[in-house]
Amino acid sequence: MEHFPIPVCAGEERDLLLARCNAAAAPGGLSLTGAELDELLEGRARALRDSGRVELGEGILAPLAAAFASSPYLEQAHWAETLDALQACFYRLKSEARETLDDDELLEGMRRAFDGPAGGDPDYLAGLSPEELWLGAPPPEGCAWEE
Amino acid sequence: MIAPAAPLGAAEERQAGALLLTLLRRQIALWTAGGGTSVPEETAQALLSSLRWQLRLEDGAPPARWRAFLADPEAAFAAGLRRAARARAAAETLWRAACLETPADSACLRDTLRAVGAWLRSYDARFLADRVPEGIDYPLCVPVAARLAGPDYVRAWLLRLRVENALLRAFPPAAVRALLDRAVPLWRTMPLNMAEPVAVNALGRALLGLEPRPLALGEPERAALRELLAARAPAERRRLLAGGTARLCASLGLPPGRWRAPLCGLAPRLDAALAAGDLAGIFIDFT
Repeated sequence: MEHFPIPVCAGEERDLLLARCNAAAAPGGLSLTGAELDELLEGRARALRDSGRVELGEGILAPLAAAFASSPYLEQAHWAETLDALQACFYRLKSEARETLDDDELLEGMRRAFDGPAGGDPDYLAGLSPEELWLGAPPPEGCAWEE
Repeated sequence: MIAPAAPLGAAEERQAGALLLTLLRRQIALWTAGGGTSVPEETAQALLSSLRWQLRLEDGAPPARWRAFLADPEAAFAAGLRRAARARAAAETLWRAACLETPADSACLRDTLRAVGAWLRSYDARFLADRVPEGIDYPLCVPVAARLAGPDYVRAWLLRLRVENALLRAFPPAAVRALLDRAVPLWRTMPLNMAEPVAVNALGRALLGLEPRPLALGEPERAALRELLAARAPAERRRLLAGGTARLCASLGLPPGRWRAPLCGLAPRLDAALAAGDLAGIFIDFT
């Protein structure tokens, strides 16, 4: 099997991506630093590898930032960390859905679950299957906000 | 004498790899129809393999071809698409002819031709251009080279089938069916080649100086074959097989080159059968 190179995003390309991510998240008052973006790019390579996927373009970070920036659960202090967890969820769910959901549908479902039953907890999304995500998962047992 | 082209330098290799990835990125975008930025690794692998087939840049491609790609990757890709479309069209012409001339008795061959027809209808030269039909279950006398892919494979397969059909059609259908019923009783339902037993019996008659039609070989003929072949050293037997193949093809109007490999390839089986003193597993007793 061919070995696909892990996409290297550096120099001008990286600066452009940083600008795009920050422009997308600006409505929510959120932004990334260059160092945070570098960590997110490492996370992206890891997530792609773990989910058995190949991505040769810019990636999902900017669309992810745009889809989640206006969530009331997000705050600047955890923005990079949350984005990292969300992109890992995104690639996993994309693979588990066996390409039946396009990127926009998946982002929409993730955002709905994130603002709904997950209450802004990306770990909750990490435990969802594509079906649960799409059909609207019930809140986990024992959640304080369940009642 | 033409000097061989110098191998690609490291810079050229890097540039070629980057250009291939650029084309692959575009293919992935087209494949997902804008619905995704990533694809499963198997899909990326299949799209890359297709791309390399379209560009004729498989492993071992000559440096000159790589350099032509480096000079104008878009032109190379467009030429690849045209080549794939031409090969598919040629395969369809062969398929139509094969469907008309193929004896309908073998369910496996019928299903195989149906699978090839479905593949031709669904073939898309832009993506997965190197895929071959699933369901080619009918075994040919001589398999198609494994290095062939896409419509090149299908063309080669259909060409060989037509060569085998030409042999079968050279004999009365009733004689062919009767011989096959003796040689490979499950030939109507199972994936079993029809041409090989017919060719071998016809060769047996040619070796005895008989007309190949009507395929019959009784015990006296088999005894004569045993005597003829056993009296010769292995190398001489091989020459005898080659001569018999040439005579058989000449009398049936078949291209001898296509039958040399399967019929001269009988030699090791003949050697073993003669050592055991019994040619029954090779030449079929059929009168």
